[in-house]
Amino acid sequence: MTGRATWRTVLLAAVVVFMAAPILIVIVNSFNSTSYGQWPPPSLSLRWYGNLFQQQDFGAAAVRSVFVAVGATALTLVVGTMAAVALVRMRLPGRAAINGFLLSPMIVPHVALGLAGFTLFLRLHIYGTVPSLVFAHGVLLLPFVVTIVGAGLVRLDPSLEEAATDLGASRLRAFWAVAVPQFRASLAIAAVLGMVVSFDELDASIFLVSPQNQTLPVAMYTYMQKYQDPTLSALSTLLIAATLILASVMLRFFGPSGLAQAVASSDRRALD
Amino acid sequence: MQNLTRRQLLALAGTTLGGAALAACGGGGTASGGSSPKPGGGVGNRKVKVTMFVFLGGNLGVMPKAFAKDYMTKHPNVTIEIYENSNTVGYPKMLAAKQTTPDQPLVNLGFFNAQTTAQGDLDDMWNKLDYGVVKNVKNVLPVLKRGNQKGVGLGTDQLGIVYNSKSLTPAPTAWSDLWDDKLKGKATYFDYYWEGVYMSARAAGGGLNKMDPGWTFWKQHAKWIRTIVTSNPQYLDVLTNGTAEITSYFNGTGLQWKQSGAPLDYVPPKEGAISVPVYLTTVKGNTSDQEAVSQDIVNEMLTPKWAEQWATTTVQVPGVNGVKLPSDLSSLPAFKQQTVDKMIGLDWVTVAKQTASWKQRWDQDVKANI
Amino acid sequence: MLGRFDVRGYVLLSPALAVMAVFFVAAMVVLFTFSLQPFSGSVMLPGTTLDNYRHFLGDRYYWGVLLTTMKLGGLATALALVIGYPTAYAMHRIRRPLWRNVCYFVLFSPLLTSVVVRSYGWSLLLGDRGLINSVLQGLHVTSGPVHLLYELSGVTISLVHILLPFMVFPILGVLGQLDDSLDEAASDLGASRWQTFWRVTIPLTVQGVLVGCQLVFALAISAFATPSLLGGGRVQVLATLIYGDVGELNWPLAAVESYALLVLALLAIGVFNWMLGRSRRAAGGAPA
Repeated sequence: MTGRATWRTVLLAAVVVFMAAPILIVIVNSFNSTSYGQWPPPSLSLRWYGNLFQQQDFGAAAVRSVFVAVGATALTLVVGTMAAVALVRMRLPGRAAINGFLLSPMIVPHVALGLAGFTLFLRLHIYGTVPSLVFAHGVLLLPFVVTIVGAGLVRLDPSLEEAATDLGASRLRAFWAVAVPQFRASLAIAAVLGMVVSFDELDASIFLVSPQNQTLPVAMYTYMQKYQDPTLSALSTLLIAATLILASVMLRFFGPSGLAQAVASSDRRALD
Repeated sequence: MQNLTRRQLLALAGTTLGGAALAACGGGGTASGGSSPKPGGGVGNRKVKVTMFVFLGGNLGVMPKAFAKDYMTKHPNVTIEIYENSNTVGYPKMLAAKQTTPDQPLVNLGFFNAQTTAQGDLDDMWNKLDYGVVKNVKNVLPVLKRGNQKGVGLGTDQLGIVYNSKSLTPAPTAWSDLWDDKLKGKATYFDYYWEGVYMSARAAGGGLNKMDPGWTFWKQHAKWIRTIVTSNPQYLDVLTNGTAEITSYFNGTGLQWKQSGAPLDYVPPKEGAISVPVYLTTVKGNTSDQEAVSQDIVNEMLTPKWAEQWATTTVQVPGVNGVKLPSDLSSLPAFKQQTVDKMIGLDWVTVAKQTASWKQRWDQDVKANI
Repeated sequence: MLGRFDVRGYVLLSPALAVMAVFFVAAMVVLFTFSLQPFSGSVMLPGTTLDNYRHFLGDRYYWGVLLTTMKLGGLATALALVIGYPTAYAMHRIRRPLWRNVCYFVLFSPLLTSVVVRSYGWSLLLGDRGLINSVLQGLHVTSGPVHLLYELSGVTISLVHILLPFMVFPILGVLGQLDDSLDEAASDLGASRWQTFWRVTIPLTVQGVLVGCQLVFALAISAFATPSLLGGGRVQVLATLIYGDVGELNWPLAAVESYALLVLALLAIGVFNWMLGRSRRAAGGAPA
């Protein structure tokens, strides 16, 4: 059946090219010797990386963004999984309405939510604090978790958990030990997407951060308005490299239970 | 507190009676000692923190940061925090803060462009400067003084022609050159560039209060525009990668791009460049200490030393007498005396009142037709 | 546990609802109060009025913007699905973890770059003198430049690029839960590979598809940065309108626009959910 395998390879190659092309341009441009992005670059240079490290705001902002992303994702995973369980498994009047409600933070443009959130945080005297950012991002991530985890939950067979409770386990323990491993792929995906979305979030954050507590996208946006040179391309390249290293390390560390295996089912056989 | 203007408060600050009155008001800080402004704004040794707004653009932040460092060394009890943000996000935040917590303004003073300053008039955002404190106002060019004393100009940028000097020869010289036949489909503008519409209205006998001739002209000539841009990096790309050859934009940004190596140049048009001043203002809601320090800062910035650093880093015409520009700037057309003399000044308050409706006209007459 | 009305359902929901109430609901209330305030001469005035709603709903321009927004959302979703499902399936079938990981990484690497920076990349690819036009003209497919940049087409392509992971990953997650023995059973019963795919795999992965579509659609219609930076002014969607109105201090109008988008989108998503509910019942998983 190599014909089918060839098709799949061709398709994947095409998708990879599509996804990677603009990013590769960004990476190459980060070494551009001219400042205004002349293409093709007349010569290569590391000056933008040097310039990047001379900027004072990016380091702290990057650390803060990671912290907010991890915190917000942790918060939403807990809250969102509980909500997904309720929506999928329990009979609730008004489920469609609740579902739509939980999706709304993804629909209302973040600009509007940011402005309104700013006035709220001012009133509550929490404007500019990192916890306020974690909370706000958590709400913005909720739709992702609820939908993705919900999809994973639908396919679960509840009789396995019933068996566990019949054998004496508490409901919670049955859920944790029996159900969660089955949909952990969805959990992992929700977590990864959540963290990336939070890390990337600009439109609301720009209203919610104070100058002392910037996140990385806000710091990048600020820089971009002042200077139009490839320094941000250099920063993006470094971020991609850092994530690549981090992902490789995590996969090696987690070994067979890494993300790749979590997504693949455990006893697949080659059907080619 | 509401019954006393900032000016009265500062005048009262020198007397114990003022101290009692301020204490009775309960909200805004304690009396400052001394009847005349001392270094540190007359706040003695009390710790004061002020936040200073600087809108984003090129090297606009360089002078404020250098100034803050210098001032804090001279006045160890004062902390100046710089808050950099775009006008589009920064001013709405200031307004929202004013509506939510009026006694805790988001920033205490700042650099604001002409339009935002005028909008601040409409929103009652600024305090009146006490010219007894801000004595250096006497050195400011008359055109950059504000009639209502809410803020004072430090320098002025200008809007003229920015073009790709490699691909467009001979160089353009007038606003009317923007609409040259050979430039059809080769122009670009920043979104909501009503200043261009204004110049067209003016050429047809209209003005800020009569913009219709301008809208008609732009609607008819919409096809001259290849694309609208919404950010500076995009602007730079579009002008240098062959998409467009000409635009109207700031002298400051144009020269910054040129200095970074791009094949772009700025030309002040024959009919006159539009003067876009930058004002220093202090914000309503400051405590009396914060206001005293803020006005002292404004005063300091109006000295030739700092005004010159502002002018050279931002590439603006200085607003203070006695500033000598380095020759690489003073030889540029944008800084020649005849350019400065011909600059067109606008009534920015009228502009501020109208921009919302102009934005809609722009969407419907220009963007819908390009 | 199944089928009976369970107050535990609400208990489980309550943290989510509480979190939403504190931030989202409160923010929407603030926006709603804005929407009722008069706005004139660049300032918000005290008072209550329905003029903002009347202005928005009565002007054909705004309906045009709503239409463009929905069009962009629909196009992006359709394209993401057409590209995304086969991609997810192909990734699911990769044997070697290394290649699979490379694909994951490539899929979400665009999210790690700032949108400003990505736009530069797109301007080089889609521009009149960009890579795509050069290739097309070199192969003599077209004679002059095709305007992709600063048009709806360019914005759509760029949106699909950034939103593809939101389509692929949910589908991958559901594919990963499939029991391969079902495929085996089908082929034992004489189904061809294509029949198996069409009649077994696809129906069982419909949840993933619908979640992916929901995510991509919602993100596409609320997208601001991509239409703003790559639309060249020609692509006016609600999010760019809202951003402009916030900057112009016309918060009443911005609030009206936000609500209009929310209402329209929830209607569309309501349809999705209805289909999701039907497919759940058909797939025999959780109860309706």
